[in-house]
Amino acid sequence: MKPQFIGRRSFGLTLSLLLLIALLGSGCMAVIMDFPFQRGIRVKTTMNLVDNPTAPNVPIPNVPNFGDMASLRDDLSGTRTGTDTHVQGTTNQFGHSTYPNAITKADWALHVGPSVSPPCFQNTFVEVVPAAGAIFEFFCNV
Amino acid sequence: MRNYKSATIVTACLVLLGVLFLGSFGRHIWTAFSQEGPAYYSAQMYASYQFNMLDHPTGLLVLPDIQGVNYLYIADTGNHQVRRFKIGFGPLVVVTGTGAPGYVNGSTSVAQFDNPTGLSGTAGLYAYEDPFTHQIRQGTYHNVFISDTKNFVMRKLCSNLGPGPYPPCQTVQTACGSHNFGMVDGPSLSASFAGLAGLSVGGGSNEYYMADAGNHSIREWDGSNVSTYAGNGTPGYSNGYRTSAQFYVPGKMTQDASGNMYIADIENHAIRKIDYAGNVTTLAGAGPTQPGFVNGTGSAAEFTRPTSVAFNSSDNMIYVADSHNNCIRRIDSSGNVTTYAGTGTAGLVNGSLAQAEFSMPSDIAIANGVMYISDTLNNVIRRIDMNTGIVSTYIS
Repeated sequence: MKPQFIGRRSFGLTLSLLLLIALLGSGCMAVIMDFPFQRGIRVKTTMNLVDNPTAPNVPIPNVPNFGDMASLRDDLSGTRTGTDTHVQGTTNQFGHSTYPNAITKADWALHVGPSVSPPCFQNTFVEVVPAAGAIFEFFCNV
Repeated sequence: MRNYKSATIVTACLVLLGVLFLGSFGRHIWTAFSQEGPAYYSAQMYASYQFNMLDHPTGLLVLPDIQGVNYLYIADTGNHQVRRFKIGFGPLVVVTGTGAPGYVNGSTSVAQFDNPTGLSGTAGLYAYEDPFTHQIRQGTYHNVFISDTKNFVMRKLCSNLGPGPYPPCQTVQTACGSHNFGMVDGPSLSASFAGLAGLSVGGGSNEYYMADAGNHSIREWDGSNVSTYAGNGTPGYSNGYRTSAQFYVPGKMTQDASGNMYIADIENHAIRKIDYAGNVTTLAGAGPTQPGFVNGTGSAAEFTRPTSVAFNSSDNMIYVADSHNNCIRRIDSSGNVTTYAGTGTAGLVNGSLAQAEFSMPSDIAIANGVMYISDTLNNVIRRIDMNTGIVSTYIS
């Protein structure tokens, strides 16, 4: 009886562990990992069907983006966050690149693209990032 | 046994709590942040598919599939091929034509054309048995009619978008024309033409119109016979009843919701109208001796070799490919002509409607608020998002 009991307990624990790993490693974890935007800068890359505006937009992964802070803006309200004056990355499976440490209350020049699939040329944003941060969305209309 | 159950339950609870904690953490942050309000900026970019394959594209046609996805057919005139692009997805494929000029019917892979130009067509559904599940499914087929200009015939391409084998498709046949130069009405394969240009499918079943540019007339095919619908075979600029009226190299026609037909009358530098009763009038344009680039009403407006027209049911406008003015014009139902896109200068410039430049736009197709333009001398297909007024290079 005893060896069988241990075997069942081991089996149960292993199953639980596998469940945990599966949960954390699957889409559930992925959803959790892609935190909602908190501060700094987020780049979003989205595909949009021009001839079917009601179709849901689709995120575009693997889009390169980078940018530099141009100047600080002390005329804006709120508390400045972040320390990074340069950001660089590629969008994740949700079409996001998030830079929480990008300096806010500043002017930024941000380059997004080109996207390969679908093929859209690079776009440059020159915009103000307020204390609460900013989201830059790049729509590739196909 | 109890320990085993407890361990399982405790672990499961921990996992659940972990998920709930992280999830609520995320929501809390989002809510708090939303109240503070980050700035939001967006940029609308337009996809540009580069293949570097087109050689003087002319005719365009948009047909849907069973799921509502549109397909753009392109008469790749210089390559003697018909290509297709699944809008929004691609790729650009050769549907038929070997790349060499010729006159061969048969499967799409061996068929040959000689300067295909105008396109028109219809979409239909067919049933087939799924080879794996043996369920009956529906697929889409396209019947595309092609002005095979230098073969003096109209060809019919049948193309399945889904799997076969029924109906037998992926074939090219001669729909009408004897392959001889001339102007003969009669049974489909006995009739002759002198250079077909634009095509149009009429409102009725088996009702197809062909701009027979070389014969300065509009021909009609009912599926078994060809007749002359308008024009008397000699070039001219006379209005009147359709069979006595004259045209001078008609390019392409379109029909509005009331059944009126509009024709790009190329060498008359005018847009002609055939009303439902069969009377031909000039909607806009100053006539054969007065090409130009002037906006205005009726005969006060000037065009220079308009090659194609397309009726847009969304705004009840007739859009005109004003080829030698390198722009797209539009006409309202009263005959008021304005410039829709293009500066008049030949070039390849994207951007706003007023900034854009084209180089001999020859055909236009409109579907779901999007205009596609064969920009012939630039060897590209341009696109206008008619909602935003942005011109972009779509396929090159």
